[in-house]
Amino acid sequence: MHHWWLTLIGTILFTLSAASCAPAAPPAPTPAPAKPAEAAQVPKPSGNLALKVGETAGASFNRMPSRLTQDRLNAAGWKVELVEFRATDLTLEATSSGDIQVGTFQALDALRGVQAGAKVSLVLEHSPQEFVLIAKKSIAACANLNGTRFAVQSEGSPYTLITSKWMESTCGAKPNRLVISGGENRVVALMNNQLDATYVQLPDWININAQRPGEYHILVKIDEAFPGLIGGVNVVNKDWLQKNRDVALAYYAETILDARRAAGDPKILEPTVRKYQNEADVKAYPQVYEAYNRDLSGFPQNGGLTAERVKSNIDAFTQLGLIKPGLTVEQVADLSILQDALKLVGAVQGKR
Amino acid sequence: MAVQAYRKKRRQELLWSWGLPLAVFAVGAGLWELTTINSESLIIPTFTETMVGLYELLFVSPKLWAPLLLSNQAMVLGYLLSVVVGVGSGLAMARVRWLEGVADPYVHILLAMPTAPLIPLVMMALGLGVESRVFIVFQFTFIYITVNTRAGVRGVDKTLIEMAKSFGASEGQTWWRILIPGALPAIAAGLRIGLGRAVNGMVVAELLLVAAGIGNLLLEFRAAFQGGLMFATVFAIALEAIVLLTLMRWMEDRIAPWASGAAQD
Repeated sequence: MHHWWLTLIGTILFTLSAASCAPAAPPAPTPAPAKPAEAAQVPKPSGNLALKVGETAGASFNRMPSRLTQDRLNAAGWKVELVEFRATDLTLEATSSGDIQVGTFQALDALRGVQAGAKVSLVLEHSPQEFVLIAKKSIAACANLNGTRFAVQSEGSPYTLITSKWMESTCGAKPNRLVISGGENRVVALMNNQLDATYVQLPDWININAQRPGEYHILVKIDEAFPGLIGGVNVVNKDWLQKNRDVALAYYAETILDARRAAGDPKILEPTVRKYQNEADVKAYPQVYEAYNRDLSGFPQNGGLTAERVKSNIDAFTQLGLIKPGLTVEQVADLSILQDALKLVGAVQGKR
Repeated sequence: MAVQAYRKKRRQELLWSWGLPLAVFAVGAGLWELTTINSESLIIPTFTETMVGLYELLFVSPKLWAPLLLSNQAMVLGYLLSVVVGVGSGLAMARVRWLEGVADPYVHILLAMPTAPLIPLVMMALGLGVESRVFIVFQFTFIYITVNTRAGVRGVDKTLIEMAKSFGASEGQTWWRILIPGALPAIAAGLRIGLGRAVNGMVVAELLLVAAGIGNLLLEFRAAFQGGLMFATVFAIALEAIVLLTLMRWMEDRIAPWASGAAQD
């Protein structure tokens, strides 16, 4: 009689014996350091992938990583539409009303907007503080600005007030202020010898210096004079964020990844720069890229915003009289999106 | 009886000339208030906020007067220059055929041309002082005066000119006794349109070129999201335009009553 249970026990015993004689498995290899940009994958969310991103007109260099993200996402099936506005208040109005979902501004404009009742939240810093105060070579230092022709965007512009504060605290200089709206108009006036000094974005300075080498120089970089001042930010419509959190999370995770790619390799942004910027800007790209990393703090690789940083900026702007007292971090920012995005893609140590 | 009938007629005239516009204004203000009161817009204030802002600008912290005076310097100079050039060129084009043939295409271009692209050129040519703002006001204004003046002279009844010639009138007499009085209604209309355009040009020059006065105020309020004060400033500019145009109409009635139809009264 065949006892089946004997066969079963024998098979089990044989298997166990064979396993114990097998050579030991090699130890698990030490995982290679994660390459955040390439290895991290952001899962494509479900839900409505259509969103509108608003900017003030003019494809300046600080927006190139965002443009790269938008193009890349559109190729992957999203519908990210860029909407250009003539002025910051129009962009903010459109973001607050929900006509667009994401708006791009300087930090102070966002804070002022929230204080005026805009239904938006700060989410991420997309570019560093890139304004510089430039002057004719003959104006060697702050004190020489006294009585000179100094052009500003408007009396209420953040950089008018910041540069005034710098002059006041550094040397007490009082230049003659001319209000000329439009950076391009100020540049024309400067190069036509109708001005002595003004503030411009770093890429514009590189262009000016390329056209008129040695005629002008940088008196102060705002980034250095006021370290920690937040640069260009993204804000989102609060209602949209509440209803589309997954989409917002994925969008900002992708944005952070592209900022890291751009920071690591100048070739990454080159096609985007060629697509969106004019000939002079494309020509100046290598110098602009180098200056961004050497002279400024570069594109933020971890989204730039922390509660401490937002608070210190609120305090600084309040002290400068640019916003009314009483604004809190919670009123202004929703940092949970950035924090969740960093959990998804990992954080780069030592970077903001 | 005659006095009563006259008083009744005057009351009706006042009702039409003042009452109706005020009623339209009240309806407009009401609609403005209703559509904005719940809008949560950052930029567009309610009618009430605008009026509060206007009161504040005019009387409480009178920030308006100095910038308005500064801006009006460019406006007045630009307008006066436009009147001289506009009336002169309109009269010349109406009487000198070959001149009209040469100038006509440029008149059409100037009527349609946008101002914003000119700004860098104006800045380079005239600098950042009052001259460039005067030029922008001039560019906004003179062509309308030219076109109306030309139309006015061309519209004078040709039989009157022939009659004057047959009675031995010189060219000067024809101008002084026939053409200018005949063209005056159209010239007056051109001057009034030009004045409105000059106020417009005054603001545009400061928003696009150098914000010296009112334009600076508008930019300041806009940057701070103070929609009420910004619209109040716009209102103040509109009030100024109404006052100036009303004054112009009054002068017209005194100098040339046939031009405005006041002689019928």
